[in-house]
Amino acid sequence: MSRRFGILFCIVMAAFAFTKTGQAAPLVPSRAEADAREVIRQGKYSFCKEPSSPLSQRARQLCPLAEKAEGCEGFKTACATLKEKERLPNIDAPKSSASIASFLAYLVKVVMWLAIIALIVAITLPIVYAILKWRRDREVSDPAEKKPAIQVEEEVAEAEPVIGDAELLLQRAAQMLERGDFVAAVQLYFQAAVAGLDQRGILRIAKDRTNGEYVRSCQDLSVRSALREIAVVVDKAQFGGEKPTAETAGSVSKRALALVRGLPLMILLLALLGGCKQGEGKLLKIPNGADPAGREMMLDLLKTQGVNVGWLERSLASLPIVKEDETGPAIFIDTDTTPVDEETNAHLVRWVESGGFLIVSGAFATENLTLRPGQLTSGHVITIRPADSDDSDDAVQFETTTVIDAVTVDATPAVERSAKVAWFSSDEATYGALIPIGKGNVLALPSDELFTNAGLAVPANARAMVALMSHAHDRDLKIAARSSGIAPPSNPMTSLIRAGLGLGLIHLLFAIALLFWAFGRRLSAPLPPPVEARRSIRENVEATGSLYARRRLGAHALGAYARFLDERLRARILRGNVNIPTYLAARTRAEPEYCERLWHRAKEAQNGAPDRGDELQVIRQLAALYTAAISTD
Amino acid sequence: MTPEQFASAYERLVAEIGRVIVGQQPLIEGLLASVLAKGHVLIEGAPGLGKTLVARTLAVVSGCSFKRIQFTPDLMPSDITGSSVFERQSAQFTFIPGPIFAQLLLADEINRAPAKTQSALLEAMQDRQVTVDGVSRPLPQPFAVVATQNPVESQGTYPLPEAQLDRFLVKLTVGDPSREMEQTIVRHHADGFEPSDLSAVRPILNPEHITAMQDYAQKIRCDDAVVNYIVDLVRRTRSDRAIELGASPRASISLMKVAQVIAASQGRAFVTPDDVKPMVAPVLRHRVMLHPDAELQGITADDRITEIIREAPVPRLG
Repeated sequence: MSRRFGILFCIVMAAFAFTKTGQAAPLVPSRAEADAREVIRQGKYSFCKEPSSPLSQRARQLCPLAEKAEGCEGFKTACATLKEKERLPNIDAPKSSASIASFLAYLVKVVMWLAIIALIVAITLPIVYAILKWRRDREVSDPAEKKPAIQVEEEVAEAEPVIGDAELLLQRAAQMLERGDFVAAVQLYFQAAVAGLDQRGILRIAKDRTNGEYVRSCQDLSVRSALREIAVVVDKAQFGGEKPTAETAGSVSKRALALVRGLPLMILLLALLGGCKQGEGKLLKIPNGADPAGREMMLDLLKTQGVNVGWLERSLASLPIVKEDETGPAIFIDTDTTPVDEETNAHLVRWVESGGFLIVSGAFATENLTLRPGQLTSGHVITIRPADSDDSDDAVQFETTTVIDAVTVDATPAVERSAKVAWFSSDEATYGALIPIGKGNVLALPSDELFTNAGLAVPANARAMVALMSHAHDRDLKIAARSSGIAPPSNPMTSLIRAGLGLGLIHLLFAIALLFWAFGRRLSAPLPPPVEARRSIRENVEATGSLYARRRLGAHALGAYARFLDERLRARILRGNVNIPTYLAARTRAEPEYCERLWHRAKEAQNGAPDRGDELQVIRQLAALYTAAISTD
Repeated sequence: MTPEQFASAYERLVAEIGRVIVGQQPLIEGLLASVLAKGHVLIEGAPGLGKTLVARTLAVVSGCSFKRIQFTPDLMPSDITGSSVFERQSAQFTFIPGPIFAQLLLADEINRAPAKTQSALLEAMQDRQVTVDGVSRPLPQPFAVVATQNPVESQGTYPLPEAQLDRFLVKLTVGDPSREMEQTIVRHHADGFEPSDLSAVRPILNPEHITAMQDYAQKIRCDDAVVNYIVDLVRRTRSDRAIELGASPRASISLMKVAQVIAASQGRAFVTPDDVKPMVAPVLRHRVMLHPDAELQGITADDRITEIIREAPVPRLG
């Protein structure tokens, strides 16, 4: 039992020994200088030999360090060239990188606006096409209310195979293409293209439409042109007996794919919207360590010192508040390159007060602290002693041209009173201070000079940097990126507004509202009254007859017909022989008594005789006689 | 002749005629296509729409001889074909050819002459010859009859019998021009254009060219699928319940011939359904007889033909 306990204890102790507790070993400034010299000698970073061209704004500000940096001939030369250019006015000087950058920025803005317009069009066009297609289909559908007297039975022809889904047809066409059946392939590609365009509402499939009609019905010139080229090949194959070649079939397949799968502009649009990425310029990859103002050397030097250092991969506004028993990381912010908005600023203060360690260079202001860097001045020699070190041999001296103009804490310009540690020049200019705020600290510095590649290339600066960082040596160090200072947008609208697209968003919403209002108004407008179908004579007569029958007015109908016959036949009969039954008998060769009987019955009805139920029959018989009589004329 | 040459000549003819006849492009193209298909044309339209002028202009630009016959109720067949006249000096009968002996004959208001006179054209239109006194005399080549009639008047007219109607390849209807076109027409006349004076119109071709074009058009390939489509369209007129008398097989042949010309005018050596569809109505409208009830309902031949076209499936592969 005891042996088992002993073994367990040893295991636990060993685990503790090997576990990273966050308690790093003390930073060794002297080693930093040697490391810096070594990496510069190895040429690990290209800022010394071949700095990025043109030099960034910050890199230019570091040019005074070029003379002091060891082994950085390239940087010196670049700075000298820059100075020469600035000194001599050059009429033919090429455009400066600033103007190019501003032009590119303008270009990007234009492209973004075009992308927005394209997005609006891409959203509204399908809606419009769908509405037009719905209306077109409604017009074309056979109206059930039209019932002509001649019931023209539409031939139910053999069901024309429905063209079907465009993608399926494309697959079948590709299979035919692989098989070498180019004739079938081009026809299927054409059907696929037509099906795809029909799905998008650009044209309408109908069994009576020819290939040429499909082409002519496309309003979009580019679509029409592509479809026409396919149709020409299909016509030649189907009606001209000219089989397409593999090359022709391949060309047809490309066009059909483009027609079915939409415009390439959409792909370009998606690429534009999805290609831009915030962060450390992943798209514009700069060779490692080429920027004299970069942080590569700082990261590497601190890593060799055992510091867990890296880029902050979140927004400053989302830093978790440090808990009671936790040791928060150290965050390095250069406010010149990482602008901090108010919301983030306030959160940073809360984070510091909860126990965070903030290393800030450049201007910074909170409720309790104001840090205002001064202008560039002549060199000041600063002495920095590492944390927890009283040995003067450990002190590091370095020369700087930037100092803090003022650090006020609690509105009291008393750096010495508030700061745990402060560093001054011999002429009592303040370089920086470690100021406690709540449970945390703020290490305030005038600039990021000591943290840049060029700055660390100067002898003694690497030691100074490590000596400064030793004041946060027991913490992980995270360096804030350019975008970390802006609180992440809480909703898509905020992100669009931050991107400067707020006005465009308003325009878009207004355009959509206007569009819907316009279409809604149009659709809600009363439809014109349908054109009255012309009723045939037969329908009218039948309707009248039905009315008479329902109202039991057969005698009235017979009397009216008798009047009609009287008028019509009198107009035909020669004068002096106005005897209608005789005329009818003569014309139709019917029995005179038969005609007489019918006429007598009709006259009775005309004179008001009541219904007997035989009126319809009499009318039919008289109508037959009348028709026969006039047909012989 | 190549397809490109045919298409080029066709375009030039249309353009040249279009300089005189404004706003009647379907009429010009229908007339030209029919003549090149070796067919005869019946043009129906209200007065003053250029029916006579288009025929005269076609004759001028094609270099063909042109004669015009004004059909009247007292016109005799011999006034058309010609007759033999006894010459006292030679004591022989001499045949005096009538106006029908022209390459392009304009039969103006053909429905004003009685049936006996109209029938004088039957043999000429069918066989391209006339027989007078037992002697058959061939007509010049190319030969085409362009007849006109006025749909408005019915008094004093003699409707063409079906047998004669069937001999016209197409029946073209002429409508009123648009406002802009009418303004252009009036402007032309204001600028001094005189319809009776076509001296400014250039002859583009000559009769030999026209004959060559006609022969070339006949060789345009007509695939079985297109033939079946044409036959399907024509046969549907016979089974349509609103049509009492459908089109005859001559209609199928006529439709194919004119489609061949349309295909050639596009520079193609084969016929497609796109060439057939535009000519279905002109070829069939005068060959179908509607049921009286359908006429009473106001249904026209064009309505039924449009419906037939809509119902007939276009041939497709696969």
